[in-house]
Amino acid sequence: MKTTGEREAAMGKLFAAVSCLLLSAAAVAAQGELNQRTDDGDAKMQERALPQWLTGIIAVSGFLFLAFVGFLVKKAWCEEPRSREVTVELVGEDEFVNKNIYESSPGTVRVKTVVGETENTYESTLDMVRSKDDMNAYDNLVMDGTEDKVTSM
Amino acid sequence: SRNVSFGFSLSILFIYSLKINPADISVIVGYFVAVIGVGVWAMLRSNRGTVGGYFLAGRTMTWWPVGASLFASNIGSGHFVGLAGTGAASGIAVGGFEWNALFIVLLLGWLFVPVYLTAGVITMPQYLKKRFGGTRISLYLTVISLFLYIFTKISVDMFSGAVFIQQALGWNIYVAVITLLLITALYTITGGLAALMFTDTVQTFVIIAGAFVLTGFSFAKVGGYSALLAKYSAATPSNFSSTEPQRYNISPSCYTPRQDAFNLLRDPTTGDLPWPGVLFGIAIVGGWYWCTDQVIVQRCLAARNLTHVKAGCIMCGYLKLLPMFLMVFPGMISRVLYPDEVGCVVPEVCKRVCGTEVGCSNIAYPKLVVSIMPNGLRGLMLAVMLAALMSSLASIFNSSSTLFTLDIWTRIRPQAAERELLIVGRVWVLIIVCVSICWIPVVQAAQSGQLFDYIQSVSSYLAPPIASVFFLAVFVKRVNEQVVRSGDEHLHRLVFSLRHSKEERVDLDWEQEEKGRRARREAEERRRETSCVGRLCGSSQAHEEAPPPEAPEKLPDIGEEPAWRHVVDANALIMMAAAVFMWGYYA
Repeated sequence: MKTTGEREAAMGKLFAAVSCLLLSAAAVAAQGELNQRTDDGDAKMQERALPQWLTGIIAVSGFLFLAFVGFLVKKAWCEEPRSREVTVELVGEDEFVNKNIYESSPGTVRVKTVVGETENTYESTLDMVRSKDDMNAYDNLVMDGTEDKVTSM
Repeated sequence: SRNVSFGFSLSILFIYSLKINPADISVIVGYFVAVIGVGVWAMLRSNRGTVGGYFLAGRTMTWWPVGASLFASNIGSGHFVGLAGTGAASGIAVGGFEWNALFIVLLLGWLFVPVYLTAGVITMPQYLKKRFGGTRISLYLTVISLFLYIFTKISVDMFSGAVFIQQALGWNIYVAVITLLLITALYTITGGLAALMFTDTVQTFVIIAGAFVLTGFSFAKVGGYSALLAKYSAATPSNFSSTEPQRYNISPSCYTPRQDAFNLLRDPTTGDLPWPGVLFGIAIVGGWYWCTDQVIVQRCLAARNLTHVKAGCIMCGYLKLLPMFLMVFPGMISRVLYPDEVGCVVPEVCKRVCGTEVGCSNIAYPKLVVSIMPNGLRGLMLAVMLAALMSSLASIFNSSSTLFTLDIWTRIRPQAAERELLIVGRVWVLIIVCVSICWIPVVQAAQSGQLFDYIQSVSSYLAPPIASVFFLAVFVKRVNEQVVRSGDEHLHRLVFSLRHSKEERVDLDWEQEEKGRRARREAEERRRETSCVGRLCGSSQAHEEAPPPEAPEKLPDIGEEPAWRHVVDANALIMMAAAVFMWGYYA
């Protein structure tokens, strides 16, 4: 849970930073035409199509929209591995125990790197089946179209 | 202590020897008292006896010293002189350097510092050594960093401090600078990073308060913000015809203010700061400065946990919104108010005004201080410049000392114990103070206008490769120094994707570390054997055959409480929105 959230936030920052750079580029394109139209003899401030505060507001709304879209995309993207073909043994909510299982099993480095993704699978899967009555209990659930084996605790 | 009072009285003596009125003096004295007082207090409350305590303030700093120290270490006298001067000459686009940092500092807090913290390193070359193995990369980075500090950071601040001192105060440059450096070295050497970060908080407050005062006076003098917008394009000097028409003539574009002076993002082909460069080029150099450079990262590593790091980065980001209004706009106002001095274009006139023929835009800020600040407040502006100068120099001294001590000295003498490292660290600060003093004759001899450009060129040349190495190191697992060594077992907690991993790491620099540990153990044993007291204590030491094993390394924790994590994330979003608004407003 912590890892996904951290990753989300971090990816969000990166995404948002890139999106503002792109936004600023777009803002420039809007102003650029105006700049070129002014000639050298003109000592007055060039006419602007939009007042400055409006350009600012548009930039902020665009940025917030992109950040929101990025957030939705990440949510959708993080849910996707749920349908991946993985055989699983749920031993508990301790993610480190899950990792150790993979370590001890005869596996290659490739298996270890899969752990990263399956962590998410576990986290999202665990959260979905977490029982409302008890923190440590999980509901029994049949998932359509997946090959995850979710054992009841 | 004796050193403090000696330095103090020295500065008092030389201030009295020159003719400044009492109001200015009292402000300056008050400033020094505050800084030295805070330095002494921080010194007494921190443990400076260990490497972690001296170089990393014991990793106990809260968010507000972190944020203030990030800001004060970054803002130097070079900013006052350079931002105001370039603002006077070509408008607000130079503020893009500052406003770009708003986003880069968030990258630092969210992406890079978690990796540095969880890697458990103190210096950046150490991180590269752990990440790639081998010793070459860390040696290259250490040497390049020290070179860059001496030739770009220290030199810029020395030049700008000298410009200010000569223009605004007319003091003897050697006396002024040497006194300043000695005071700076004093609290750097004794206090370590803890004292630096707390004094940086005081310096930040002084810088912002003083600069606000000057900005207020400047805007009042010019008639307000809209008056500035209207008058700037008409700020041409009265002398613009060549004195020797056969040798050269002066075209109007040399002395007419730019049409796009109030645009941050300028035409890519005809602009002086084209917008692709402002957005992307500055971001790369900013990535080197904020995310990979020892001076900045060390302050983040001194924080008590990751939430405080992030909050400090956000605070620094908000503070970085200010230089545009506190330095760039006053620079432009200076050109409006004094077009014949700040905006001079005829070489002979410029030489008379400021001593160089290229142009006098660098005197924009000092000219304001001299001309529009009343008595008493001139002392405040001097305190502001001193604050900026001393905070930046002190941070550079401390970080270069960290680099030298932990990366070069431990390579020369792997058996060095902690006490020796702390002594070496302090001695290095003295050495680098002498190096800084040697810059003064260079300042006297050279034309400062050209030198700023050379310095920018050097750092822009060396920064991108360093930034890319770190970017690849943190984000791309496949990149290694030797192709043979690949695999996750070397990379736990050294790359962004594995920063939460709790597994054993097979260190690539294991052999070197082991050699160092063995050397230190042997040195410790030899010390015990040779001391005569060892005989007497022989019985008590008999049952510890080996020195106590080094405490098993606790994995640094980069966990955050979920509630606070949401708070800092939300704050970061708000700050980015504010930054985007400012960019959009001035684009």
